[in-house]
Amino acid sequence: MPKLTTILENVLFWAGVSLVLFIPLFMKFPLIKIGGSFVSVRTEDVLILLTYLVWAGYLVLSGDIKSFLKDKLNQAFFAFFLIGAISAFSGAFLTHTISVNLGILHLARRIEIVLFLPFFASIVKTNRRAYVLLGTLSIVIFLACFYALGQRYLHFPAVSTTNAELAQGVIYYIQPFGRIISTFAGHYDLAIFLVMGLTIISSVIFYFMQKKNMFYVGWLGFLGVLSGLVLVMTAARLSFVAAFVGIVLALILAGKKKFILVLFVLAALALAYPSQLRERFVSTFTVNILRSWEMYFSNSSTGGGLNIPTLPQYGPIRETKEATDETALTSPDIVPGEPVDITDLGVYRSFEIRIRAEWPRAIRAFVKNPFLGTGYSSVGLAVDNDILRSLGEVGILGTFAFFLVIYETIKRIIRIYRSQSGFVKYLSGGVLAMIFAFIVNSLFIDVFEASKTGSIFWMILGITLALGKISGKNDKAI
Amino acid sequence: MAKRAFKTVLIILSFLLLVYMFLPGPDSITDFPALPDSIKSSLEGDTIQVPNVSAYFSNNYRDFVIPYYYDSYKEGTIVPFGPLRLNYPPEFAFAAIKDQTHSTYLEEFVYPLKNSLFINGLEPVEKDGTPRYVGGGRFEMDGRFIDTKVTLRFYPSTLPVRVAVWLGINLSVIVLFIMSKRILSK
Repeated sequence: MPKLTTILENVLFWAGVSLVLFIPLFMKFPLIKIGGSFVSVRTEDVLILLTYLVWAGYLVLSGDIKSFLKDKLNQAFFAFFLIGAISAFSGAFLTHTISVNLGILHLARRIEIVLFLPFFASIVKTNRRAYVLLGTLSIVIFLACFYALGQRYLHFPAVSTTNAELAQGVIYYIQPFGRIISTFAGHYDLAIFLVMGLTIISSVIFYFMQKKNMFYVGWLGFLGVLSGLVLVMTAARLSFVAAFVGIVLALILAGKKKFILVLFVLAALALAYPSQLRERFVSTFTVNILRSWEMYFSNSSTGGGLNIPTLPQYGPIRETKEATDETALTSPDIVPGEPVDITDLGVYRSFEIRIRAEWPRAIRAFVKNPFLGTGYSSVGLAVDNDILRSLGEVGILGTFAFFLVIYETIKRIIRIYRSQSGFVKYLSGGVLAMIFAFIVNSLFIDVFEASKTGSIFWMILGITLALGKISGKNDKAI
Repeated sequence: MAKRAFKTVLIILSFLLLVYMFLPGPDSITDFPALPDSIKSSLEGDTIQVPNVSAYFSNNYRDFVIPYYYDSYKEGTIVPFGPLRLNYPPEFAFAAIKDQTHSTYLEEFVYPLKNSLFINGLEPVEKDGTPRYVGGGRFEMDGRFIDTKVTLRFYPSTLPVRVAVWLGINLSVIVLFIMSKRILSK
């Protein structure tokens, strides 16, 4: 039996390495379509399920199952899953806000994503294995950035899930004015992934500087610059802000406060350089804060009545016009009152969709059932605020269970940061900064539900906890 | 002492929640009255094809319809307070009422953890007869011209489901209580 568990341990480790590579880098091609949603079951779901089945067998055979179930972090995970299931039942049969199959599939996806933490925390048994996984992640960052640049300059294809049509696995090419997505579902996903990498690199690089290991300093420095460049190219404003505050925290935790000044200079340079990101920041200021923009007024006479989306459109048929330079710069679906400028329009809609459609939808769901919410999948695919999403989907009880998970995880990483020295200390400092940046991002984007970024987030946490545990044991042994 | 008091308060609250969830109320759409001076729609989709749906053509506008059904919903149950009122964008009528439901307003009255009533209104003309949108005009029913159509959809819940959800809430609270003691304590 010990031999079998050793074999399973090796199998699980290499399965973990494969998932670290596969999940971020394999594009979102659908495998099995789900009725009633444009979310699909994908190849990685099958791989993850198989891995988890082997892991369950390993936990039983190795006898680790007892300690696994006794661990209060794992118990908090089970409490979160239990409340999610009760909420799904309530949503399906009490509030009638979800269909049973969609509710179960969404719940399964959440379980699949967050289980990466206990999975990696339990399969990483040696420092070497943790380093291999972290090294693999650094290669993934490089490949994701390389592919993103390829989409901009070398006509590499892209697969996105930002709308129902693209979610069918349609291969398309990023237009010159489009935002790069690399192998991710959208530019926001890629940006969050880069933020995670940047915050950790900002801390860990100082360990290698201290050790004068110039190879790793060079490699991480190169990755940092590359990630920063690609982050600017995604033009994701909130992720840029999250990266900034995350790196500031990482520098503080690494004891390198004077580098914050350098960060300010770099951020100022990034914003001074003409880019979509700079334009969007300027638009944010003028449109969202000053509420000032050049409005669109329709010249066509369609009656001036209400535009009611559930009613058929009547009235004179509009004649098509030949595109001119002027019309090409205006969005074809613009309505009166919206900004004429294409960047202003994007920024305007980005915010208005949140405050007028997505957030009220989640608040209504919460009001309908404050205890349990209206079930997973009831508030649509995007709410763009993870707190509201959680309150709407699983209510106060589910949100509190999730808070306990996050709280216990942060508590453990802080303990590692305080008790350890060397690489593990720098890594845990970077990971704390990553969590902070991730939470900042979650105020405007559903980062915890995005399968690629969510999976990587929990993976990194799992690896860090495993490394902390191993180092703690080594300290005791000494 | 404080611990015991806290537990007692939780048990009392749980019992009150159970009583609230058990209080009788409307069971189906037939428990809601028709709008005054209205013609009940017999159009396909407004009768038996979709459960718990009924629709009325009348000259009653939103300012009358909403308080009317608020009062009738409140009177139909012995809960000592009225339902919560939620406002929705009209396009949600496709999901909440039935597919292809035309709408100019959509509201929901909810008794959380019990049941809810959606009220969808279609008002093609203003009270003075002005079309509210291009092509908007009065309905013609039985030789009469009528201003508005109101469609109701009731979402009931059965007693066993409510009991199951109540048990689920209690189980969740107990689990969270134990977990928070383990995690939040120093």
